Amino acid sequence: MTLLEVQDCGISFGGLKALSGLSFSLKAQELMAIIGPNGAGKTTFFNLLTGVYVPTSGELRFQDTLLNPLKPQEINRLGVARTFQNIRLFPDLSVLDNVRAACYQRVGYSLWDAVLAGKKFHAEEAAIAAEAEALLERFHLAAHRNERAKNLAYGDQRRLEMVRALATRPKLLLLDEPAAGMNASEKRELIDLIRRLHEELKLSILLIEHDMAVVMNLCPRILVLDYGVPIAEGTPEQIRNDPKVIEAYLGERAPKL
Amino acid sequence: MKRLLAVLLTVAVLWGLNRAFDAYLNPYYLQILVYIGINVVMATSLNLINGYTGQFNLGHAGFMAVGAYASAAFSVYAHPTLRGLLGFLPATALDPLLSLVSLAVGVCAAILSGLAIGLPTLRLRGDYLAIATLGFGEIVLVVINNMEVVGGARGFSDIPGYANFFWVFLFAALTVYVIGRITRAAKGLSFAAIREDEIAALSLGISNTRVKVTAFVIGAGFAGLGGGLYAHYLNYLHVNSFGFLKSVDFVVMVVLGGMGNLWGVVIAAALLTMLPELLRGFAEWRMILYSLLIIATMLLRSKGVSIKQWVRSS
Repeated sequence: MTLLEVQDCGISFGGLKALSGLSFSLKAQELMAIIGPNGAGKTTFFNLLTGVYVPTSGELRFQDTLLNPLKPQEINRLGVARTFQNIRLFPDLSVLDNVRAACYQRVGYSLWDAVLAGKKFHAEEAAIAAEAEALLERFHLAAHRNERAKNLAYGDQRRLEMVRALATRPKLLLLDEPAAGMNASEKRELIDLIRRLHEELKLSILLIEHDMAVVMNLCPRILVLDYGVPIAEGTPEQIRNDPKVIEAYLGERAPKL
Repeated sequence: MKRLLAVLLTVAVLWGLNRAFDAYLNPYYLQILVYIGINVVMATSLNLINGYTGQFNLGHAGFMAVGAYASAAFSVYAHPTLRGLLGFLPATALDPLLSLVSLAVGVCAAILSGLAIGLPTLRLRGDYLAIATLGFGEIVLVVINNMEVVGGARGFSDIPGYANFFWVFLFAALTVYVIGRITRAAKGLSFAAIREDEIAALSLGISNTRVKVTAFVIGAGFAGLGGGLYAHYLNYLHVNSFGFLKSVDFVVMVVLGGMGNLWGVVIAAALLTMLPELLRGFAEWRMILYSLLIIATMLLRSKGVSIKQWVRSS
């Protein structure tokens, strides 16, 4: 079943074509990486997909819903959640509140109920808190639940951002350079984590990453962008041997892993 | 059950204090206490907009003026008729009932003005929103100044005096309770989320316009409540009481108490209400003192005064 359908998608800022002619489709529960040199349009594509920018050409469809005219919050409600290249947590809120805040869209009570604090309100608050706690537990962040998000270690902040995105119960998760700034052991943990997310939660994941070890290990399918144009798509093996990719991005033949 | 008990206890304690203060407390001190209560309502409601949601509202006194004049006008012009209609009720029930209706009218008027200013301007950010709300505050004053029905430049006098220590503190407690509840609930974390990172909040399905307008409407509503209490306590209104510097006073309370710090702002509101009284002799230095206080807060404690940290450090 097709989850995401991208058709001839592109955006220009004035005369600059940041992205053009991008087409691909993503099946449910697929794990795919988007790679490319700096400025290739990878994050721009995420911004198009999440409604931060509106495409100037082409169409984006998520489960047959046209995304082009939708606002970011509406796209999230359809089931698309993301993390950011430069971590965007709610720095002064506690770790737990970061996750609770992400449950906003499925809260059934109104602010009136919060004031009156009846049974329904307490039951729902407890359910949200329990769900947030369970997610934190799963990602080994439960011990930090009452710390302010900005005081977490860098790797923990990255994980918290993923937890927060998951709290919106997405079908498609977009990860923007999740391994950036991590050391080798943190990267190994991250690979495990993403694989588990993919398998246990039956999530579809789109991943932007510069770290070839992460990409080649994790993703059965890779899309390569260069100067806003898709230049190759295929398995890690195909990508590794594609002359265009080697020329544009890898520079030399990627080492066997 | 526990909550009902807490409410009854609060009412009983405030009632008792009210009787005691009326009988034994110097009226001058009592007046300062009442002003503290009103300023707690004002500062806490502004805290929701400026502190929790991170919007820069520089016209909070404008919402207060709308509430004050609307409820006062209702009391002066509609109460005689209502009294005639409801004459069968005993006076002890009629007075509180009518005063509550007057306050509600003030709150509704302030909410409407909050919507009117909020919807078109909340796309503005930071300084631009501050200027727009500042403009709103000034427009309100000019309009009121030219309305003869509410006394115009002469001021609005003979407003019936329903508000006292009891009512003011009851509503101050209600304000702190409501703002505290909604900002701690999972749904109300959206206010702080917008302040902390609007783009991230959007990506999590939080609708920025909706949250901001909600903050403005609730904040304006409570400002209208504060205005209504002020009008019915003082029995006289003049536009000069709601000028730009009044808005600045409230902003100072929020900044000094700590943006989004519920009890810090309550304490700051109390302190900053007493301060000018303690420093009567230096009245003309007040603004200099305020600016120094703000600079000191920014440098030393950008999160404002906090009880927890006081306790910990002492």
